[in-house]
Amino acid sequence: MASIRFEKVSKSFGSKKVLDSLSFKVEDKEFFCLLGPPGSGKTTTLRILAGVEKADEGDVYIGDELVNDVPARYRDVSMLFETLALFPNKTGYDNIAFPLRVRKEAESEVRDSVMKVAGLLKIEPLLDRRPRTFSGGERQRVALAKAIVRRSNVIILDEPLSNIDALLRLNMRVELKRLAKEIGQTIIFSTHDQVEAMSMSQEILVLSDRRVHQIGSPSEVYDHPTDKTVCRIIGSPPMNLVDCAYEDKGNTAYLTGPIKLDVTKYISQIRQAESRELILGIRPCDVAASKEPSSDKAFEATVIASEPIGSKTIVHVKTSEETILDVIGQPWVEYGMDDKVWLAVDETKIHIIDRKTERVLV
Amino acid sequence: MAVKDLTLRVEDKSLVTLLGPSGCGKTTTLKMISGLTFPTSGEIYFDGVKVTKLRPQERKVGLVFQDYAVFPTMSGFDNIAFGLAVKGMAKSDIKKRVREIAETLHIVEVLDSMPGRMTQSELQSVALARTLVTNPSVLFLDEPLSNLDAAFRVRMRAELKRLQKEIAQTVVYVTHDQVEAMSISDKIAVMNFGALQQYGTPSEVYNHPSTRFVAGFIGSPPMNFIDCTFIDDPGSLDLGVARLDIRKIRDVVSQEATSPELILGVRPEDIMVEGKPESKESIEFLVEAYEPLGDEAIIDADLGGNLIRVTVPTTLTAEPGDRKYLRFNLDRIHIIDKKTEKVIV
Repeated sequence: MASIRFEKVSKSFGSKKVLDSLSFKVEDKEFFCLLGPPGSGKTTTLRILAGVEKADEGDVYIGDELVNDVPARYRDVSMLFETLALFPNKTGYDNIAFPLRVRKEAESEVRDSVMKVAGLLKIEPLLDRRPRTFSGGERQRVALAKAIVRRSNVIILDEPLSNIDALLRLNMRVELKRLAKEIGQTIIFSTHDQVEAMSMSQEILVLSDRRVHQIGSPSEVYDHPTDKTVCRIIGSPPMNLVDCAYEDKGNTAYLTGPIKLDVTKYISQIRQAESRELILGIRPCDVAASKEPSSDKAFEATVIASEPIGSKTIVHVKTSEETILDVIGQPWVEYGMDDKVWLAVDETKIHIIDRKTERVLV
Repeated sequence: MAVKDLTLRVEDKSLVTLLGPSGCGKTTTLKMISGLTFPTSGEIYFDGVKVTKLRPQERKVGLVFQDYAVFPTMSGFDNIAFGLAVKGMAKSDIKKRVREIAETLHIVEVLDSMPGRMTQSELQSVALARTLVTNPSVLFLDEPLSNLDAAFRVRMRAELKRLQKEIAQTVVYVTHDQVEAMSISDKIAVMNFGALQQYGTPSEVYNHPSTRFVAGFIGSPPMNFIDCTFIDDPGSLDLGVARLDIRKIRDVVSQEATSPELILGVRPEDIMVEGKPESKESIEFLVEAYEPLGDEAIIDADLGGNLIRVTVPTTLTAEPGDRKYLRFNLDRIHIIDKKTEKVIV
């Protein structure tokens, strides 16, 4: 049984508090992700889990065992940290075999395990070569093999794809996901790249400003973010957040501000806000820009810049009230600076956030 | 040979990107244009004037490299003013110029700060300001965003492009990130192994790639390539697992192909997925993986032994092991000659 539980874990380095009463649970065999900007405490969390760092407060459980005082080498975890620890003078094979030999496993067993993992990661040709001949991606895969060969209950990966170039990273995402399913161990990894978090994990923990903002599946954090931070972190280009207010006319309600919308159907949720000051959240992919108004609800905006990225074009626009929005335009249509476009908002996809508490109401 | 036979023309006030994988010769090309290296043969001209043997200072260029190299012991103001002070400009003029550029780049608040206290974005803006303030004829940026985290990089891309247009500065940008190149450039020079593969606008290199390399390098997720055979009569592509009717373009293929061995190139977003076969063009495949990305999802598909990627809307879900059907958008396929690696259609 290899579930993980953090209960109110806090950690400071000198006067700087890095983790503040962090609590979360990872189920057995889950592929779990810690997502957050650099400096949010992800690596510290993983180091505390590995036993390399000790928490100042709180409890860490692996399975049902309280491991606060258990040294790293006695915890059944394998880890891969960002600074890849490959022995430069050992072959790929010997590097991967190392954790098994340290545990004095029989050579025949060692051979079986190494070959199996090498097959999974497609690194057989690297087994009799040395790390200095490896490319960045190959080094990463061998280090990964070393981390998973031991079949420990928990595998910790700290930014496992950060040193790999864009194209290989795409392939590795699928490979890692497939691997996770095949080896059936609990895997917890960290990243600052939300695309990685979304495509690979079963559960994502959004970590920022030393605290947990939301824990949920990729579709949960994308479709139902619970606060402003999650809204901004998940999704690329990031969600547009527009300050607005609302008018309550008894049985109808309207959002006022740069984008005016009838929000009567959400009136009970909106009334729970601490004040009339709200934020309207709408993802760029849910606002369509076109050269002609597509409906009578469409409103006008001026193009500031456009980014054609292939399958779609991101258009940065300014509304008549000087609000800047990112929207999606049709691919390969020219959106020149100062051109006028019409924007249509998908009203089923809006989010309304309480400006004071930063909690998502709708 | 790091760079061979490169001929390129950069228009005034435009942003041109040298794009390619590491080792393709883009940094060497950058060094030659800026004057840090001299070409072994050939000439370089700025505004019609031959600058081939001139040093960087004599060419009036500005350079910003990956690590910014902001002077750590000087304030934001002093960093930016450095180039002007060295030239002996009057103090009051320096003050005016620095303030101007700081306002354009939104870094007025850090003029009095030390680099140790600045954020990545501020450091990068100071490095940029330092070169821009000297009014370079061409500004060179070598992978300026590669040190930044994902979300930040997206914001800075838009900022850079806006800035470039606002101050009408000619910029030569170097990167290996094709999304970056696509989103900010007026024109992209795609390079590989020291040679120029294609030079065109983002739309040109994306929609009309001229070689297999360009087709596969531009676009994310990348274009799928499937080996196939051309059957002249009646004009179809044999993929093994299916045959595609390409009678509309049969004549072009017939003329241009050097052999019947071809490669079908199709982008993940130009393939439609169906639960059951909707037409006689629907082809069965096995779902290998499903990646939900929020606004869309990627299916890794096994099509008769070929592993391809398809982009689907999030309303379509799938599990590994499912059998589904796909259809190619035949108006958007590319046909590549397997031997010459040139794109025929």
